[in-house]
This record gives sequence, structure tokens and C-alpha cells, in this order.
Amino acid sequence: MFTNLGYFLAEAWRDARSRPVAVIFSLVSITLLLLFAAFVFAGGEEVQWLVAQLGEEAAVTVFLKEDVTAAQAEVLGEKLQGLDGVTAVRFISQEEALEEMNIVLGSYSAELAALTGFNPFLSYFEVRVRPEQGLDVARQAEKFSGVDGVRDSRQTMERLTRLSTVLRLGALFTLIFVGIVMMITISHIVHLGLMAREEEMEIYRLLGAGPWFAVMPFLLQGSLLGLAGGLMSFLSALLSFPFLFSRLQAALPFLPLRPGVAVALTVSPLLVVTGLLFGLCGSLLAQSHSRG
Amino acid sequence: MSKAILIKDKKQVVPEWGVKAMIKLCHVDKTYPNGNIALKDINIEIDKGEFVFFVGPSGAGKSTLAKLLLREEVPTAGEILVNGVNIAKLKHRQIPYYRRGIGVVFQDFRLLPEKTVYENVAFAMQVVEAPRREILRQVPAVLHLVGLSHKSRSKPSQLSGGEQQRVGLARAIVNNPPVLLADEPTGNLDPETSWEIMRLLVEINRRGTTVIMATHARDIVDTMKKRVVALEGGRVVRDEKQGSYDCEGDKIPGILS
Repeated sequence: MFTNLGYFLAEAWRDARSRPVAVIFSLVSITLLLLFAAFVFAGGEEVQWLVAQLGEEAAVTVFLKEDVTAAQAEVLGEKLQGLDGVTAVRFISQEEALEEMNIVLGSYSAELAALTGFNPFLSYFEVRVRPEQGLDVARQAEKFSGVDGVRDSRQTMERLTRLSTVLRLGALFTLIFVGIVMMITISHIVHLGLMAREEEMEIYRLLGAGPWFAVMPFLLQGSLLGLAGGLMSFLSALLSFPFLFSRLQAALPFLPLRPGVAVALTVSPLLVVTGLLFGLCGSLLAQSHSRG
Repeated sequence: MSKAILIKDKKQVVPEWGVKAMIKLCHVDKTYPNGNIALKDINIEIDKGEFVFFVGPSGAGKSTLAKLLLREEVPTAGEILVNGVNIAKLKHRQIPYYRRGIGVVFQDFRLLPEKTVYENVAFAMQVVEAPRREILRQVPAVLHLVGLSHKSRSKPSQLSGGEQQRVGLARAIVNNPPVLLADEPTGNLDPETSWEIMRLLVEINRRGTTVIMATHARDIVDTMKKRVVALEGGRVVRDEKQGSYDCEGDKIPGILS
């Protein structure tokens, strides 16, 4: 079979050249379909990234009541430090909280400036915890006097994890959907080629060609079409993701998003493999129809 | 006599070409699913190196016989033994290997229109997965034999009928098959060109290839003085060592030489 690889490739190319419009339309359709799948997967990847980031920064935020004095806050800090699972405790005053928010919001901090004379933030303890003990620390901290409320980042993480799972499931279904549409598209284009060369196939058969000889160029054609679609969608993702993610980062400055190029590079193997695999499946489907 | 070789793997037993008494049809019947009886009780033995004409009117069963030999069809009854192997019992995957031992020439040439003369011939070697070096050596030699070296880059549409058939012939013999099956190879050619083709077939036969030719060309059959198997209504009505198209008594004076 490999003896004739050059011949099969040349035949696949010759057939594609004989109907360029159909092949180009198929290629564009496959590229768009895979790009659509890439967007869904990128969403899933991004959320997963957020979960991982938040996991590394597992912390419980303990907000203090407004009337808590510095001395009381110091005692509370010592109590928190003594809890099992706590690795570090840092006190942030109301002023520091306002300052931090100014840094996070960047250009939007002007809106905060409009609130001159009024600091809406409470002073709080940022309690670093071992991730698996975060919930216990939060529960115990809630019971201490002078505590206004406790925010456990685990809850956010759990929500994000759930969202990530939903997105990944969605991406999987999208991939199946995209794969089926791709398979039908490629199967159709390959089937047309097989039909156009029916007489040729008959000659192959009579000359003693094995069952795969005649169909191999078409299998290659379908696979290469899928692969080309995968590569083109990867290229499109590589060009569009940096722009889109920079816009997203600007809109959500408080979220640690990954750069678009990194996301595109993460989803690229998936696009290429999906293209190749479903291209091959489409060719096999067309071939089985032809045999029938 | 009933030798067989193993090709590719032990399960694929196909006939070994190249020993004496290569083809034997024993009580072969062929009835198509629509009830049409194409062949009835055919008994023929063809030895290695023979030149055999199958003659007979349309519908006599010549094409069916060719299809049976190519294993396009299987007999309804009887056996077709190729060196002792019953080809009707070949498995589907074995058939291509069997066919590689038979060169085929068609009346309508059946060349691939988008390929050049060289590619059309080389293609028959690619089909059997011949090494590239072998293709580069063999194709020019065969094109030289059929006198088409100078047209190797031409497309079939740029050739005359005779030249196209010579390409068909080159394609059929490029793999050195032990048997050449020609179905009306001169059917679409003028007499002069037909003789060019016949000269080539004789040369191929002289080099040891068994040639089986189905034809309507009375003058060719009569001049060649080769074995003639006459079919009529699906039966062999005559099998002569150095025969003619018609039975001696059937000849119409003045028409045939």
C-alpha cells in the first residue's frame, strides 16, 4: 500500500482539482464548523483555567463588623491563625480594601473616585487555607464574635467547576454534532468523486486491483480535507482568539483570563485530530455507500 | 499439474500460472438469473502458449466465457480449473491476485482519458504494487514493443483508434501475464490497423503468452490458422486445431479467402 502512496496522493489531488468549487466550499464549511467547536472548547478551557487559578489561591475572606476595634481585630486574627488548616492570615483595613479595588478595576476606578468621602468596603482578614479544609475554616470563623460574614472561595470554585463541567459536556456534544455534519459533508464530496470515476474503478478491478487500491485516493482525499479544515480552523483561532480574549479581559479585568494564543494552542490538537478523524470516517462512509 | 502457490498469506491460495494445461473448463453451464442460458456443457482445455480464437454469432456465449475466465461471473454448474484450482471457489479477496495473471484487452480500449500513454500503462503496474524502479524499466520497454515510445506523453484523445488499442495491449502485457484475454480487440478498427494489432498479438504469443481472443473478424481467423473454438447457442459446436471462422462446408465462395 505504501509503495503507491505517491500515486494515491497524486490521484487524490487530481480528483480534487477536477471539482475545485465543491472542494473549496466543503473546506470552508469544515473550517467554520471546527471553529465553532473551537469557541465552545475555548470557553470550557477558560473556565477550567479559572478554577485551577482559584484552587491555587484557596482562601477564606472573613469580613469584620464596622464597630470592631483594632485590639479586637488583633485577637480575632490570632484566633484565626490558630485554626486547623490555616496557613496564613493577613489583615486588610477598609482603606487598603478600597486601594486594592482601585488597582483591580484600573481605568474603572474613576467611578469609585466619584464616591469620595464614602468607603463602602469592610475591613477583613484574608485567610490562606489548605484547599481541602477551607470549608471547615469558614464554618468555624463564622462563629467568632465581631465577624460580619465569611466568603469561602470554594463555593465560587464549586460553581465554576460545575460550569466548567457543563461547558465541557456542551463542547463534547458540539464536537459530536460538528463531527456528524463534517462526516456528511466529506462523505458527499467523496461520493461524488467515486461516482464520477465508476468506469475507471471497473477498469481497476479488471486489471487486478485490490479492494483498497481504487478507494485509497478517496480515503486520503477525505482525510486530508478534514485535516486541512482542522489546520485552517486552528489558524483562524490563532488569529481571532488573541483579539477576542483581549476584549474579554478588558471587559472582565478582575478575572485572571489566559491569553488568546495560549487557548488557541490548547484547542488546536483537538481541531486537527477531529478534522482528520471525521474526514476519514466521512470517506469510509462514502466508500461503503458506493459498495452498496 | 494441480499446483498452487501461496500469495500474501497462507489463506490466499491462487493458481500458479506457468505450467502446462493451464485452463480447463469441465461441463460448464451458465444461466443468468433472468433464465437466459448463456453457456451449456462447455468442455475446453487450453494449454500454455496456445493461441485460441472464440468465434460465433452475437449471443453465442463468447463474452460470458470471457467473464467466466476473468472471474467476473461464476458458472452455474461445472468447474473452471486454472492449473487445478477451481476459480469459482476463489474467495473475494483472492480474485484480484488471480486477475493479475490475465492481461485484458477490450474492444472499446477502456483507457483512462486523463492519463498519458505512459501513465495508462504504468498504472497497470501500480495496481499490482510493482516497485517504482520496475515500472521505470518495464513501461518504456513495452511501449517500444507496441511502437508507441514517441507517443508516451500523449493523451488517448490525441491517438488514433489503432494507437489506442496498442496502448491497451501494452497495458495488458506490461505485467507479463501468462494469459492474454482479448475481447473483440479489432472490433473498432479498420482492417489495416486490425492487422497491426494481430501482428502484435502473434508476437506476444510467440514470447510464450497464451492468447485467447473472442472475435467476429472472419478474415483474421481464417488467415491466422490458429485453434478455433466455435460457439453457438451457448454450446461448443466446433473446436479445430488450425481452424477457420466457418465450418469448411459453410463457407460462401467468393466472400472468404
